[in-house]
Amino acid sequence: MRDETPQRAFLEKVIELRLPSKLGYERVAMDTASSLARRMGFATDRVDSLKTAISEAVTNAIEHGNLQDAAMKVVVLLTAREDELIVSVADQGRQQLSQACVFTRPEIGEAFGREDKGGWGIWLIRELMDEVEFTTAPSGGNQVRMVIHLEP
Amino acid sequence: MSVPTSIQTSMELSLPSELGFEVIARDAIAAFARRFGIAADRIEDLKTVLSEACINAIEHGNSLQPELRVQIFCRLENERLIVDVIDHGVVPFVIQGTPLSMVDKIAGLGSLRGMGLMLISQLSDEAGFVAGTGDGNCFRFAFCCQYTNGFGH
Amino acid sequence: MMLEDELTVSTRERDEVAVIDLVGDVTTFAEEKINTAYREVTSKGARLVLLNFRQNDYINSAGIAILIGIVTEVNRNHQKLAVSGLSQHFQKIFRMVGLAQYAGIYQDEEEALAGFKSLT
Repeated sequence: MRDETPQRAFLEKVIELRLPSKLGYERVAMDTASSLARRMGFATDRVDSLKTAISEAVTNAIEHGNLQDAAMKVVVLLTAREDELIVSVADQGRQQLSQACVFTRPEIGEAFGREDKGGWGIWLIRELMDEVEFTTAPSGGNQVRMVIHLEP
Repeated sequence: MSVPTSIQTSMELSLPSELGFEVIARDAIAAFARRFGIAADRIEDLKTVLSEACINAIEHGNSLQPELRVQIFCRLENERLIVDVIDHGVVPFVIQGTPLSMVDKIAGLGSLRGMGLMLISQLSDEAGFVAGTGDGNCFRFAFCCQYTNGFGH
Repeated sequence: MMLEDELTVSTRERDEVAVIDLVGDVTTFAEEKINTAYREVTSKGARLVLLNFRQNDYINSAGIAILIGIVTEVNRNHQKLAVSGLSQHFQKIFRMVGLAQYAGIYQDEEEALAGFKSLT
């Protein structure tokens, strides 16, 4: 499977991580991504933002996308480019992410009255990353692609 | 629904076959091992062993070809953390006899090659090449889990 | 065998402030421990509650939801809440979420105690 654009393929370095859908494994994704980001030269606060964003994305994939079926995998791709880090998190889509969730802006004042005080994850990802895109894979799985730019 | 424990406690990591990426793998496996309450000093041993195994795969098995990849499979089975490091087998592994002792190496006998394997065998509870599923070399090492904090047995 | 729960919660009293120390990860697994500690200090009549974070390099949205639950209870019980010891990153997250409107966010325990004192 040779890439059509070998030059680009050469510049991109991809790390792939496949994790079981069990809460707690998002730590592995966080530590792997932060290890890469630190070595790419991201500042500490950006690395912290990345860790929070990736933990939310993987937690969503485990809890919602794969409904905590441990046999299902969450696939994390970390693509290191010269000027940015692209993180893609994909689940196997036992449950589809609703488009409504993707654009919510939760309000803490309303959360007090709700039984479920959650729903902050996707909003946090959007706030913390430079580019965020939610898509559905041909296989039906949910995918989120997040980009963080390396500022000179 | 019950899922076999090994699936719940396994992960796969795939890296570009380029020196430097083993450092990322070290941090990934440390996070994995911490989930099972493995003692901090054993996690340091594990990180060293993994990076030596990756360097062998990158330098020898994949002959420093950066377009190739190194696969790492980690799982917890019967209270042992088992790790397979798989390369493309550009250079198949050949047994080179007993590695030289540290004394011999310091005396300048032989190359520094094989130092990694020596470290691996001293730090892990079990290590060696096993028959893999594909054409590549599959290097396997294992750590017995000695739990801390009263977890486990 | 699995270390799902990497949080230690303990309570103590200092200058009439109920201090709840949270050492470790604040995620979905933290819910029972945090709620138990809060109920304990409340049943002892605490008016001022300090959530004192330590070495928390992982707080996620599930953890934030637990803390919003605590804020809800604090308001209902007419108590005052403050938070200390958070890293810069999590101070930022708490402000983004809006928790700062309901709880004073302080650098450390001493600052938080001084903050409470200025209220009374």
